[in-house]
Amino acid sequence: MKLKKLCGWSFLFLLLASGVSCKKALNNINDYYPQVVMVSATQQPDSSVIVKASLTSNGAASVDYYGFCCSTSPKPSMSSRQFYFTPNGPNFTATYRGLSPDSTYYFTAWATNSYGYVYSKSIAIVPPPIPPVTPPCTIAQNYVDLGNGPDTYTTVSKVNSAGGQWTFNATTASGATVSFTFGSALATGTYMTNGGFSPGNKQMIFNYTSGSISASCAGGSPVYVNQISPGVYDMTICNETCWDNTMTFQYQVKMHMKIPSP
Amino acid sequence: MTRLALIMLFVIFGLQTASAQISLQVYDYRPTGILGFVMKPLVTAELGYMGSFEDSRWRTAFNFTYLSFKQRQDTFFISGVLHDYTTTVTPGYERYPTYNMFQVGASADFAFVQKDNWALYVGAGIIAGLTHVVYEDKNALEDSHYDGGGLMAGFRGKLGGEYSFTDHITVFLEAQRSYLLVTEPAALFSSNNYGLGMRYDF
Repeated sequence: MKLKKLCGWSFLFLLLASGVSCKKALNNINDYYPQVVMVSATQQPDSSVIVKASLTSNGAASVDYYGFCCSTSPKPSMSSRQFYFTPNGPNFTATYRGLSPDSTYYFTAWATNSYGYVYSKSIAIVPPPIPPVTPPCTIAQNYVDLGNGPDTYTTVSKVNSAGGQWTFNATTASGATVSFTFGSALATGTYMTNGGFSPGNKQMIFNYTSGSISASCAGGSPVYVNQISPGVYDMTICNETCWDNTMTFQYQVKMHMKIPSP
Repeated sequence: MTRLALIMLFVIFGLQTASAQISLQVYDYRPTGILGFVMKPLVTAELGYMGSFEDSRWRTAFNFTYLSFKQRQDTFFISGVLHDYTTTVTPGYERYPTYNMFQVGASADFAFVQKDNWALYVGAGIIAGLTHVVYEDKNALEDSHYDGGGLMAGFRGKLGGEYSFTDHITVFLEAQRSYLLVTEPAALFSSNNYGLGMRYDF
């Protein structure tokens, strides 16, 4: 009799428990997870990127967090440059700053609930091409005047980029040797000559030896660089003042040369 | 808990030694809740002893079964929250390449409709057993791997009907609802089971 009562109460408990907690498994396992889509990734004039996403489904449980991640690799990890939010409506947005204008970035939205997390498809932001710089002078290719009249470059060495500076040498038909040092990587843009010993970012120094003359640039003149193909550059200096090593003689220098790839 | 269950099983089985009645049931085991999220349904068989309603509206049953689950996807991607200098939601994963159970059960059934050749009944009972689990868990703080056993215990309720074709052969249909408490990894599981079986009276 006691066994019957025990079984009776057990059965009643099970019936009640079934009604309260019975959750049939979902046929599609993806229905357990939230769904999120990237709406847009828009680059701003200051190179920042505004990203927007929308939560389209909570899945089988409420969403705990949603947010964004960003990387230069096509599949960024959730924790890479992460923005996260506790849910407050289906739409969410963030602004990425400090991105390199030369790199392609992939932006992905994600969302997580108690069953797991999902990523949206990524949106890539490709940096726009840098417009070429146009020197205000017209100088023939390989022309150089180190202050002693027209000359031509006969050889230009490959660039050495060790140590964070880009250096190369060139020789002229008259036997002069010119040494160039850029303080940062060569890229399309305008640099400035620097009369010191060590160029900074976007600066260049050069000096030359021609016969008995050794001279170095005074600094302060623009240097126009265009990347004409991967690793190959075109450089023009319209007018630069150089002093000999005794600071007695001044030379006006101009040149136009092609810098080969390293 | 397991020891208590086994004692009950031996007592119940011993009381019924005067008549030999073997049952075999094939059933569709459909996990629900969190177990249903992780594991696929499976078909398995249950062998045991099942009394008859010939002399009473009450009867007892004893059975055992083996369940070998397969996970619904290779990897379950889970997240965690890491609180350091900043708060970061971190990715991780879990895998359950092996999840096996051996169950024994004991139950009592009551025929609320009892006729000469057929009956409708409800029943309830207890389940106990062992598990063999292999799982992997990786998150921002640790990587863990477990390969070992655990214990389980639970309750089961059922609703069924049977029909006796002969004095020896009875066919039955059952729908069951079960709840299991598993020790490793600690969890409360549930399932709906639908079976077709046969009892042979010697």
